[in-house]
Amino acid sequence: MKQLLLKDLYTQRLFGFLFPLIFIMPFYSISLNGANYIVVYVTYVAIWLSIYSNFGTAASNRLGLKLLSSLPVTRKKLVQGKYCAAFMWWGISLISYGTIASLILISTNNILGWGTILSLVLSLCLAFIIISVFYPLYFLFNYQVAAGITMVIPALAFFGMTFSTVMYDENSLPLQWELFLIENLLFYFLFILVSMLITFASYRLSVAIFEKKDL
Amino acid sequence: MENIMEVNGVSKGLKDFQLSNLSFDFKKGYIMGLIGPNGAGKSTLIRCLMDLAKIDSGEIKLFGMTHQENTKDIKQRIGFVYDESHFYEEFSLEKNKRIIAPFYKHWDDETFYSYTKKFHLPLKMKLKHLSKGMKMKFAIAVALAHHPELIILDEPTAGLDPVFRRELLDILLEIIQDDKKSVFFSTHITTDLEQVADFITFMNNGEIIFSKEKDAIFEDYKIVKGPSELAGEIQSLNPVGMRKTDVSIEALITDVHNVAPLLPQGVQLERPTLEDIMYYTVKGITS
Repeated sequence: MKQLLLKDLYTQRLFGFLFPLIFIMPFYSISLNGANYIVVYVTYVAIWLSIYSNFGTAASNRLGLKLLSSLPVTRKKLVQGKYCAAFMWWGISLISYGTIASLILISTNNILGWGTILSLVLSLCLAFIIISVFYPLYFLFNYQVAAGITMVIPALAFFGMTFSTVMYDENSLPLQWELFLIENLLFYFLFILVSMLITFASYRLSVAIFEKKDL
Repeated sequence: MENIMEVNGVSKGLKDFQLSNLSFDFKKGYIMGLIGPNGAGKSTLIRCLMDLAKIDSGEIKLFGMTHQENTKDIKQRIGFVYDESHFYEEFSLEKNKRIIAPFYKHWDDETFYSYTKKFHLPLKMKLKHLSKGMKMKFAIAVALAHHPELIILDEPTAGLDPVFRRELLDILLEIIQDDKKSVFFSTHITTDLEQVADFITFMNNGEIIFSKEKDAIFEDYKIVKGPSELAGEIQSLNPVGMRKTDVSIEALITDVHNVAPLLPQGVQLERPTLEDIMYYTVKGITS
């Protein structure tokens, strides 16, 4: 597993690391309505890094999977490696991009912090739900199809949040939503459970697809 | 001697191609060449051997195990060289090595660097800037650096200059000096095999025509040459293939011990090359 994680870390492109920095200020703007932008940003970057670590043309993806499949590692382990790498990317996102985002908050005298442990757990769960859409499509088709479909979800979510900032700034609906979340532990529990079920189902589906695939 | 590879009744259907009921085995300590024209199914068979393509029926055993039983252990013991570069083109050779090496239990940096030195490989250079020959040398250095018992090479000599082709064949011969190691490689450059292979497996149209010891093949097959007037008589002996011109005839016959006494007078028998065998088998009877 360590080898697979290292491989993903080594093969991540510089562009993959730099691209999320472009969006740090647009994400900051959603903090103006009180939403915890660090958690949102960390989630977005974790999804981006996970997906972009598989970047390549259909041909180069096929060669890459062929190379890995000829190494002493089972295909099941290769799929496991991809889902475990999502943890790694989330951790990297939290430590590095989270720090950058919090420095921006400090420099603008914003009182918001890193968010609660629970909000970070929700961030991880959300990242896994999106990754769970990506990998079965990636193993079934290729990077372009999978990324094209998957990246639409966080993009729509981002625009949705930006839109809500503009529309509901005065009556603070997002704040009410946050209050709802704080007061509803059952919601958290259900969300975590559903994300775990989705991730597990997605993992099993990816294994089933990849184990039958001719390379 | 123990079989290192056993292929029993393997079939694999692709969109417009079929491997049909392939069976052969390969003993430890030798070099086996897989020959056949383009599209014969050599690369598909190698993909099946490496479990990159899933077989529809039959069984492949490597080191006495199937991939379903223990693919990880099988691949630890195989050094695989692809027909094209599969490594990370954007990275240097050194970085490619750093990605690949941790997967192997018996990876030996000393062996790897000795090969890169021997092949004059620039470790700091990106793979995409290397020639095809240099990429092949790198693939061979990677394949040999973990001391595999079986080396599988898919068309390793295609597109290489004669000097490196010869160098590569010498390396393969050097490898099997250790009688625990074996080499299986596909090629359509049959002269390479005539120099180094102990066994030859010949494929055509997804089927195995033969899988035999090289010397036995040359005992089984002969080229018959004679004047064109003898064409009818030679054709009645069911040659594998025949080529006729206005003045002469050339045919490939098999089962020489039984067929040779039936040949008409005035013909010459010659030892065929592997290329002759491949050519006549694929072409059949032409005029």
